[in-house]
Amino acid sequence: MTDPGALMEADAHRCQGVLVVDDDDAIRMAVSQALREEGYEVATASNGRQALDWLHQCHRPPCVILLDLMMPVMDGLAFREEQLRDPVLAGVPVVVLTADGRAAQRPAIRDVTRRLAKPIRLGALLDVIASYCGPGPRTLTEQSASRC
Amino acid sequence: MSATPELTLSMAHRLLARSNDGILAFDRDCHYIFWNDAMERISGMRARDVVGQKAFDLFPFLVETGEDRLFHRAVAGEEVTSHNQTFSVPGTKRRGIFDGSYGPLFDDAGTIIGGIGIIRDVTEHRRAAELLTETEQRFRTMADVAPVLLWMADPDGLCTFFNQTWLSFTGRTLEEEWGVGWAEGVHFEDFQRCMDTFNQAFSQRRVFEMEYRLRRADGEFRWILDRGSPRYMPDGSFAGYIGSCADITERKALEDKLRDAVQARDEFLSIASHELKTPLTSLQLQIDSLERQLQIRPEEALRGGRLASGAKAVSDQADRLARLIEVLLDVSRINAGRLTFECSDVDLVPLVKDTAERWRPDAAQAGSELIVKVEAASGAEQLVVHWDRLRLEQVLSNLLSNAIKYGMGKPIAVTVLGRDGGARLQVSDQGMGIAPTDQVRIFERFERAAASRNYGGLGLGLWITKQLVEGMGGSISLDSTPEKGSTFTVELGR
Repeated sequence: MTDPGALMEADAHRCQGVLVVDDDDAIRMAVSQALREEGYEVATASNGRQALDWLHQCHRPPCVILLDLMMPVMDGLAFREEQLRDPVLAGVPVVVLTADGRAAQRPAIRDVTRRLAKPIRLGALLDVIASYCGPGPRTLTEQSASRC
Repeated sequence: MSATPELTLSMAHRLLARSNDGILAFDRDCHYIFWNDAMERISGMRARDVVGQKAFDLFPFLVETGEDRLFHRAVAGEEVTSHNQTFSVPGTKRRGIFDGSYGPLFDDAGTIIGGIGIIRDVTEHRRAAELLTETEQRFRTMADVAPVLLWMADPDGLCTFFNQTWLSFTGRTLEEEWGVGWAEGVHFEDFQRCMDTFNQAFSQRRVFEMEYRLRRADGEFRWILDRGSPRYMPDGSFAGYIGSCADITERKALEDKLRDAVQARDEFLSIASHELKTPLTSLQLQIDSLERQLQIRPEEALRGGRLASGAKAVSDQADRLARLIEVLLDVSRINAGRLTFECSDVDLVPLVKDTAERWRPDAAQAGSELIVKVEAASGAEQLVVHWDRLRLEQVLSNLLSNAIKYGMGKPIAVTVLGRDGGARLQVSDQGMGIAPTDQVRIFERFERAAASRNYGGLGLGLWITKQLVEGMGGSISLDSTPEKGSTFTVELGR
């Protein structure tokens, strides 16, 4: 466990889960359905508070969090600040889903490397997820099956 | 030491010739006996044509102006003067104004043999002075009738002039405003900034512009835009400042209103764009997903209801988009005053029951029970009002949607009461309630009492509701206690 490169590689194989945080039922449904159809494990939360509760309970953090910014109870910005304060969760990559360009300029959000502007296209979503979690397990299986 | 040279007669002649003032002499009968070069210039007549002639024959104006009497008094031994006499020389058409000074002419024995006159042509001087007076008068007149407040300061920065418009505005006298007296009327919050701007510009001889509040005669402070500019004498020396001020209170108020309106519009566009993008996102993802599934797993996609569930999701989001657009159109119609109502007799009881039924699933999802109560007067079966049915449904839907959103899962009651000359519709929740300070605000555009933006929606529901109710001649009121819940009451005339 002294080689950080090895750790990242090991995690990339082991961790396939995606956490989707958005207050809109239809968006949560559409995103999780699309990702499940590619074989990813998906968990959902309708606000920052729910997401933090879920993250604190799960023993294996997701490989990426898709985060909406404007949500009731706890918004994306507050979630991000809480996440960065927690050493266990701070390293989990976050992709911000936003319809509001201005909100994405706030410091805790600015540092997020990836951002998807609503309305999101499926191709862009799958590319981003694949860059963190590897290709969809189901697509992989189908590809290797077709090669046999 | 050399002896003082004696003045000869010819030297005296040359001396007289050099004088800028006209010098003349006449005998006791007022015949000219001397006429120097300056007199030739002033009158346009040569000495040879004048000497020997009787003054009053040659120049009738002397009699007309009474100047002839001074000739006689000089001959009588008096020293006399005249001022601003007009002259007109018949042969040369020369006209002008002169000052005259007359006295007796003595011979060596001390006997008066006639008189002498010193004539100064003051025509140009007088014209310049008159022009200056006229210019000054014209300036004062213009200044006093100008609709702006005008002031002038001397090179030391002391104000020495205020026009009538200024004095009427402040209700003070020139003496009170003089110097730095005017600054007493400047609002104390603006005073220092005002003085700093004035003094700094003054020391650099720069044009300045400043806004401050100035007390009007009625005691009200008005916003003034003051523009000052340095002024210079013809020789280029600094003469002080001249400034004009306009009352910009109304303009400032309009600017503030406009800024608020622009801000509200931008906020609205931002919220509208966000709200439209939300259903558009799931719509787009659903379509992309279906396309992908049909492409890479066509058999599976066509089986098992995948296509049907996808189509349902797409259709739901399209409905949601249509509803949002309808709200935006309502806003646009209300703003343009183009909201129209198609009124007919509407029985409230089935309308309320049907509308409530449509919201029951949403209420149930939020954990709220929906209770409909009808209290018709004198046991009447119907509660008929003459209103626009669709708009009435919209009003009730907005109130129900609001109650479900903020009702915290507690029961929601819809009550219809028959009343004399109309009906009353009430929607009550037991949710988070609205603080008294927010109770008026929530009926305004883009307002919601809950922390901004944390709840979805355009923040237009209650505003539209109020516009609709009032547009149909009704009224809407709110009774709310924080943490206890809210009751919206709509009074409907028949």
